Amino acid sequence: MDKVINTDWTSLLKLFPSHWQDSLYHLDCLEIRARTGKPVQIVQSGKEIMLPIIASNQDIQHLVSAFSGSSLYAFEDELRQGYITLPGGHRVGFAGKALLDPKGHIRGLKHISTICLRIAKSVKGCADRLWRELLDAEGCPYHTLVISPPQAGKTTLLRDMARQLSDKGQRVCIIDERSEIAGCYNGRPQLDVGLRTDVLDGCPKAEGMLMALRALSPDVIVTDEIGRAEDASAIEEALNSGVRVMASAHGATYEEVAARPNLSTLLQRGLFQRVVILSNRRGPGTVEYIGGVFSRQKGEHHAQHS
Amino acid sequence: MHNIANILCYALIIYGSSMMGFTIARNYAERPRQLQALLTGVQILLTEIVYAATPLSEALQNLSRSCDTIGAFFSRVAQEIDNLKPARIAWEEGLEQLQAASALLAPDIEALRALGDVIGTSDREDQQRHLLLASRRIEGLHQSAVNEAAKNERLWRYLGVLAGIVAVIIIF
Repeated sequence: MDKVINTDWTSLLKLFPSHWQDSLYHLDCLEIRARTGKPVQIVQSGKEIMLPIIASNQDIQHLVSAFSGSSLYAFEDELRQGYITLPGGHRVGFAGKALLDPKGHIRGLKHISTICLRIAKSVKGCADRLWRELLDAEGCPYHTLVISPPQAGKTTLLRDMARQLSDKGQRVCIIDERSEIAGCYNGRPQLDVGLRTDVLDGCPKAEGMLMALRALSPDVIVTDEIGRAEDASAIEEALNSGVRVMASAHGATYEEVAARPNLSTLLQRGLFQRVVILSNRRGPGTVEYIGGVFSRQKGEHHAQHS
Repeated sequence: MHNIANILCYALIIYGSSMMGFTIARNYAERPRQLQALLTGVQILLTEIVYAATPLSEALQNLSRSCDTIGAFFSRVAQEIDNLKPARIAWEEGLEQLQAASALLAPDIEALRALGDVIGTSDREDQQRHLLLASRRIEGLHQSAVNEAAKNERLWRYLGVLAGIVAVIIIF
């Protein structure tokens, strides 16, 4: 993990109860999970550790308070989604009792009992090997779909692609509905996404894409986890206005993604010119396939960082 | 020579006891003023939290410009929250100092302590309920403090001086 950037571990550590800090200090964590009355669970790449610390209710309340700056009310929209983003782009997911509004929609959470902190790590250069396949003769990217199961590095790959394209001179716009790609805090990207990148943070993908087209005249639009009907039509709109689209979708195989109704239309009509399939087989970011949508052959590359 | 020392002694007694009376009278006068400042503070906090969803430390920092003792309390809590202390603990510690430095009485502090237990820990609707409750409690306390001040402030001011004079007469 030589290229992993993780500068703010010590400042992140300060948010934890003081009697946890010593145990956490030397660990290289991908995730930290704390549940009331259970030992603290650390997820590292490929393995997990149960710390000999039982998280008390007070510890959990301490964490909620520290992660929200003692202002949980300021994160209502985020809590409705179930997570908040910290400075540094780290994401904290919560579980507890759901509060419902009269229509039965989730209004927020109370009695929070589980905290799951996913530590954001950029892997700079993880897209390096892929450019040969992903750029056309003029150096513009093809319309690309990244397919990967969770935790196999699709967001990390999208982020690095956005950063490199942006630094090479393309105007990039990231529609970051779940604040994962750029890890925005108060609207400012906390992870390096490039010089010429604009981020629409927390913005629904379909609306965001149209908004970007109208307002920001991007060369490339980058967005995560497409799959809804309105996403498909917005992507079409973008494609028809000459903007390149790089998107990702959940799924382990091409067939899995092609079976999802909204994505299948996009794929069948050949709107995406390149597909990248990632897996966890040799660590996050293993490239199982890269190439055109129709001329599929089994090829295997390995991303640089793993 | 003996006489001069005596007169000095009497003057000192009268001075001391009037000062005591004045101090008590001043506390009676100060309390409604500080409660008023607190009330304004809590009401502004309510607006900031419920309508603007301003982060707590920023909201408290804005309040700290308002009034001396009370402002210092808000500012201290804001600073501690910025230092990553949970609001409940920062608030509690701030209250201890506030009680020592202000004219506020135990029930006033108790009303604030109840607010400190919940501030920043729930959604806006819930925060609004707690802040409204707190502001109503403080309003009630303020009203009674005004009444008490009207009754007692002048009383203590005179009582101090008179008690001094009475003491001197008795000794004399």
